[in-house]
Amino acid sequence: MLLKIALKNLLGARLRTFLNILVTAFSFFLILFMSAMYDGMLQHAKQVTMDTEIAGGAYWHPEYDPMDPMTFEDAHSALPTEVETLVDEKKAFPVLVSQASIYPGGRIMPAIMKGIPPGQNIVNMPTDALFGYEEITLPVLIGKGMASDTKLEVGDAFTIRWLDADRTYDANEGTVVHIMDTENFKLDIGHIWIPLNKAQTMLAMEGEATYVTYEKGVPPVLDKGDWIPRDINYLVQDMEAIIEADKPGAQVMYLILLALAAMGIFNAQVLSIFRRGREIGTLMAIGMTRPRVVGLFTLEGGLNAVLAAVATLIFFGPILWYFGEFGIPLPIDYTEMGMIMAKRLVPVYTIGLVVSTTILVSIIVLIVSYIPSRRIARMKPTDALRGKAAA
Amino acid sequence: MENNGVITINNLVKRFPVGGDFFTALKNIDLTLNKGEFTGMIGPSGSGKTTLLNIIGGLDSPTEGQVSVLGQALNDTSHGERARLRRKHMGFIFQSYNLLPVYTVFENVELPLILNKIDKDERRSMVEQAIESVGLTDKMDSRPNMLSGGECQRTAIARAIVHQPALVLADEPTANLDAENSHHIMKILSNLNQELSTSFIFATHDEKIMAYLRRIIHLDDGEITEDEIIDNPKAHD
Repeated sequence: MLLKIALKNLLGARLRTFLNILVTAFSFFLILFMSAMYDGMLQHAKQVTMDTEIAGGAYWHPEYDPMDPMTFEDAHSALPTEVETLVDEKKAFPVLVSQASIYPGGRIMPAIMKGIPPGQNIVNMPTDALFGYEEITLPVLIGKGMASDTKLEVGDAFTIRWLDADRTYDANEGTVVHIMDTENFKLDIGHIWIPLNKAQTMLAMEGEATYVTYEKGVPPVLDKGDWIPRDINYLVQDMEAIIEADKPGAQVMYLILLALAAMGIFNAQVLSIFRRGREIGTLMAIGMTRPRVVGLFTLEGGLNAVLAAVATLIFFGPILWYFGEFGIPLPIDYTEMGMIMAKRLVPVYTIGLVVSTTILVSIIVLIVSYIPSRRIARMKPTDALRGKAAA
Repeated sequence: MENNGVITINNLVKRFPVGGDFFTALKNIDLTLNKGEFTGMIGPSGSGKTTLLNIIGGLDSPTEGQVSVLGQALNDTSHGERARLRRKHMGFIFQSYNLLPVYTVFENVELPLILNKIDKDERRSMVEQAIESVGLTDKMDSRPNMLSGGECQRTAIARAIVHQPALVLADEPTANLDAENSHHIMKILSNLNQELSTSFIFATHDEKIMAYLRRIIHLDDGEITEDEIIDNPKAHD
């Protein structure tokens, strides 16, 4: 019976219902969109790291610690046999890492010099730009951030100085052959990339490498010597730790959005219910009990939430889809700030997010419908009939 | 409800808190109304007519005294029981109609039957009958904002009588109507009273209504000053 009356009330009050639903749907949209943007940002950062850096995992030289450049000097050796087989089969590629000093425009800057096979296609890096250039002594690939820091452009030459395996300092001239536009600042800031064979010659480390990155789906090798296998889980743990550390922030943001939505919905519902004081009085006069009045208005709120979910789909669905498909261009390049951020931020709508938002918004609507209707139903029917506002 | 006593009031007092003090709206009211009566409570503004009507309808409670309506002592009943009494056995007509604006005439009249859980087919026939009795068959699908004041009040009357209550309470039912509509409404109510044996109680100070009443209770300053039985109401001449 209440459902029938509630439906009649909602459908009958066309404009009022439409406005209530629009407010709720807009809140729905905002929460969903902002949270999806945030999730999208984190997922994108993880995905970019995997695409451009991690691939299926790596084998590290036992001395290699990417967080400690002092270890680079000793972190090199010939590859274990089975790892080398992977490289020969083009299922993996080696990288030789060393410290270097560069002198762009007469200034001195520390850098991490990495030798990488130009023909690799396991990670998403434009290493093929290092192919050719027989006339150039040392072709160098750098990122946009590095180019900006060093004021280097394609074609610019600069001095590179390094310490080789015999602990002898040597120097040569590198020429920028390509500036890559990568979202992964870890490949960019402070890095110079050169062909692996050149690096091995310069460093007197022929056939040696610091780590080997292998493609996704490659099973672990048995004979890896003393090299340390690092799987995806290990390699993304920094990223996951950042995401984990950021969770409270995300939850606070979600709660703020929820609170803002609740206030909007509360205002709309309170205004709607308190304006209907006379109607409530009339319902009581013709014999509706107080619990039923409260039930009716709470049910109307519940139906409002259901209709709002549908309205979100109808009115905001195309907008959500558009941004989900094409993303939102960011005006600033965050790479230089040490953040892995897409040039276009693409929101990710997970089932968990949609379900939890739907449930939370529905609960809010029910609560904000229940509180004012309970209050108004407590009034004396005679006051309600006069349209007197509840104190 | 086997005897003829529809309402019995003994020594009723109603006080309202006003600031730090109390205002006595009704003083020692003793009253009995029988089945089928067509009674008006008349008096100036503030005389206590609406308060008495509200107490009889269970919308307000007495401060002192006993009020029994349709065999039920209102002093001892809960909100829920009073709501049930109104739902089953009473109808209300208000000065400002109090129609639900989002409902059509049909839906407004149907509402008490939905609350009484009458089944759909029976409901339709009862609603159509009630609407016909007030002459609004052609306005069945109209909303209140498309109706004149007189039509709104006729809708309110249909809503008050659709479930064939034993008692209809009308608070200034003609106050917002012109003379022609007021007479039309009173004729309808008078006819319904005779056809259905429903008891009607009016709170009014409208002279036009008095011509139809068969009993007039004069109230002044919260007290009954005169209880007048009219054998031949003028309007029936």
